[in-house]
Amino acid sequence: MAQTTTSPRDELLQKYPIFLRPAVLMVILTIEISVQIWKSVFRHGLPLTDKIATRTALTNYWLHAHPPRIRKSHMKFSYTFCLGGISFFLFVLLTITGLFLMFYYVPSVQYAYQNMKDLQYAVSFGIVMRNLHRWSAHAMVITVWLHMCRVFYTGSYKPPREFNWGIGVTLLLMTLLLSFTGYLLPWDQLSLWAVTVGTNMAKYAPIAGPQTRFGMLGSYTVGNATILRFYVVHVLGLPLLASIAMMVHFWRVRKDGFSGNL
Amino acid sequence: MSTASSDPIDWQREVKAGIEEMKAFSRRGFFTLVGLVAFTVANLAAAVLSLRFILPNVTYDESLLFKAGPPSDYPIGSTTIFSDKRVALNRDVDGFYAISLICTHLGCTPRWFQSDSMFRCPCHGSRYLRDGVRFYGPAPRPMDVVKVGLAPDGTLFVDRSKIVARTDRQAV
Repeated sequence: MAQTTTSPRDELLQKYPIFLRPAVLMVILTIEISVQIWKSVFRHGLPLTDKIATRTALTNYWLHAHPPRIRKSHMKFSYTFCLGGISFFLFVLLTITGLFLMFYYVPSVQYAYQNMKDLQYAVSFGIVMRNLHRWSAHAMVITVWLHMCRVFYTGSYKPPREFNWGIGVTLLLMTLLLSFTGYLLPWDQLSLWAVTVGTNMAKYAPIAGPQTRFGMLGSYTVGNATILRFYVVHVLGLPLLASIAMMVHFWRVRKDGFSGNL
Repeated sequence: MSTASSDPIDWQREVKAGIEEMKAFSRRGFFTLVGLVAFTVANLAAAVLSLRFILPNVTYDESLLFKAGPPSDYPIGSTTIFSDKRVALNRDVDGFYAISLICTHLGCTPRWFQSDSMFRCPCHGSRYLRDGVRFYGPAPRPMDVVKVGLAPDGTLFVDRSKIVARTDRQAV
C-alpha cells in the first residue's frame, strides 16, 4: 500500500537516525499518553497559556469551588470573611487530628481518661494533636456561628438560596452535636456532668423525653455504654452525615452563585 | 429574585394523569401502588427496628439496692452521705429516711454542707434543706425520698428504685 501522507509523528521520527527511532517513539508515546490522562482529568490541554489555565481552573470543582462568575464587590474579603472556608478547613483539620487521636484512645470507662493523659504526657507530639483537636473544635463552633450570622446579614438566605440555608442550619446542628459528643470522650468530671446535664435537658422533651435520654446514654446513668455510643456517633455517624451535607452545601453555592448587593 | 425559568414539566398535569391512571386501575397503576406500599412498609419497619435496637434491654448499671449497716451506726439527728450511691441517710426521732441525691433541675449531685445544714448543687446552685426540700435555685421540686427498709438480719437497706412519700419513716 502506497503511503502518500505522513503524520507529524512520522515526520518527527524521520529526523532521527534509524537506531534511535524506537527510543524516540517511546518518548513520544509516553508524552501523548500523559497528555491524554491530563486531559481526561482537567478537560483542557496543558495550561501553557493564561487562557487555558483559566479555563482549566474554572471548569474544575476542586480547583474552583466558587461560582465561575461573581460580582467584583463580592470578591472582597469583607463580604464573606472566609468564614465558610475557615469552618471547612477546621473540619478537615479535626478529621485528620481526630484520626491520629484514635490510634491511642480506647472508648471505655477504664481507659479513656488514662489514654487522654497518655496523649498529653507519654506520646510524642500527643499534646499537639490533642490540643489542635480541642482548640479547632472550639474555633469551629465559633466560625460556623459567625458564618451563619454573615449569611443572615448579607441576606444570602433569600430565594433562590433557601434550601442551602436549610442545609447550613443542619450543618450548624451537626457541629454542635459533634462538639457535645466529643466533650464526653476525655472522661473527666467536666465531661461527666456536662453530659449528665445535657441528657437531662433531653429528658424534658415532650412525649418521649425519658426514652430519648435512655437511648442517648444506653443506660440509666452516664457510663461505659454512653462513652461507646458517643464515640461511635462522634467519629463516624456525625462526620459522615456532615460530609454528605457539606457536599450538597458547596455544590449549591457554586450553582446558585453569591447573593446580590445589599 | 429568581427569574421564572421555563419549566418543561407541568407537574399539576402529571399528578392528575397519575391519579387518573390509579383510578382506571390499569396493570401499571396496580404495580406502582404495590411498589409504593411495599417501599413505605419496608422503610417504616427498618426505622422501627433500628430505633428499637438502639434502646438496650439489659444495662450494666449497679443494683439500685444497697445495704447500709446496723441502725445503731447512726445517731438520732444524723445525716450520712453515701457519695458513691448518691444517697443521704437521715435519722430522726421517728426513724430513718433516705434522700436520692439527684438534683431535680438537671441531675447533678447536691453536696451536703454540715455547717449550714443544707445541700448545694455544684452545677447551677440549687439549695435544699436537710429533708431534701428545695428552698433556692432553679430546681423545680424537692429531691425524691427513697425507700429505707430493715432486712431480716437487722441491718438497714436503701432501695433507690422505690420512691416513697416524704413523710415515710423506717422505725427501728
